[in-house]
Amino acid sequence: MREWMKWGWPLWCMVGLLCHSPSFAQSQSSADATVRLVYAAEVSAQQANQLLFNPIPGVFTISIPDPTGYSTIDLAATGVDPATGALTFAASGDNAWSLRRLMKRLGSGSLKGSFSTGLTVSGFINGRGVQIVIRETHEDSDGGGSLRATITFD
Amino acid sequence: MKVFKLLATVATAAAAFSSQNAWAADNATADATVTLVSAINVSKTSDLAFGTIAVPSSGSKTKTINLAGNRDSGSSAVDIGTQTISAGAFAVTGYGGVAYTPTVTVTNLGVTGLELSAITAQCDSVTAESLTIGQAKGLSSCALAAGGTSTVKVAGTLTISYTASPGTDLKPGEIDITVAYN
Repeated sequence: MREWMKWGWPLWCMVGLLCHSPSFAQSQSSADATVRLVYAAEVSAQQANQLLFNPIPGVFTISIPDPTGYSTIDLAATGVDPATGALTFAASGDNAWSLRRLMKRLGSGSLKGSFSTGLTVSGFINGRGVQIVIRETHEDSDGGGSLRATITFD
Repeated sequence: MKVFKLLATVATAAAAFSSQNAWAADNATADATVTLVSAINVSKTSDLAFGTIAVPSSGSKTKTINLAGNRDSGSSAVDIGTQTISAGAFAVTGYGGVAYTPTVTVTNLGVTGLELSAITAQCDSVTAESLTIGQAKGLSSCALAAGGTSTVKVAGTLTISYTASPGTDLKPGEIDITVAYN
């Protein structure tokens, strides 16, 4: 709309040509910036060094802060991914349960039932970003199951 | 008889006068015309969604969503799980082929530990422009396509401090847009 039309609308109204507010030629809307924040997970400095520089299979105790303090999850690494050098968590029984719990606590959501291959969750290990990627899953007929995951660092 | 002759003379004169004036008259018509265009309208199609992020254990991290709606490679924040991320986007409709100006304002809402910065906005494929937080910016060279549609996108960086508190549906900022025909 031309400026003289926009601001001259009272004149238009007086001469009976266009008795209308200029608002007919504009419109407004809004959107939000949104984010969801979750707690980070941590392991000890010794275990972080092992994960980072000398990936040796073993049991990792991961501490997760929560509103009442910290809870811990034990996770057993059983191998090293030859392609990435990341530790492999081939899990069954308690280890699978630990991974499920860890990933739930990391806020991955949508974990009803079995894990899906390719599901990725992330957190922090001593301030360093870490990602857990589910590589394979298998569910037994008795309700148990196993999965294989890798942990990599940003 | 005299009276009859007088009336006849007057009638003849009147007829002659009437006949002489008929050829000298004319008429024409004109129309009142107007072209009505559809009102311009804008509506949100997506929020500027940063997804799910872990609160840093110390210091701060950043996450940038670019105009294509993807995580920028320069981001340092760690994403969590499968995420829905997107650039802020608005659909503009109106009269095809007409220029318009979208005026965009992005504000921080004061959520502890969360701050927006480095905001850019773009209409369709026009060169993106930088915005200053809290200041209205009119994007230039925007026009509705022949079909009467256009898209305005907004991208930016979110800084997450260790002081931020975990939570869902956090809204660190707001994007307001006004569109008007030029």
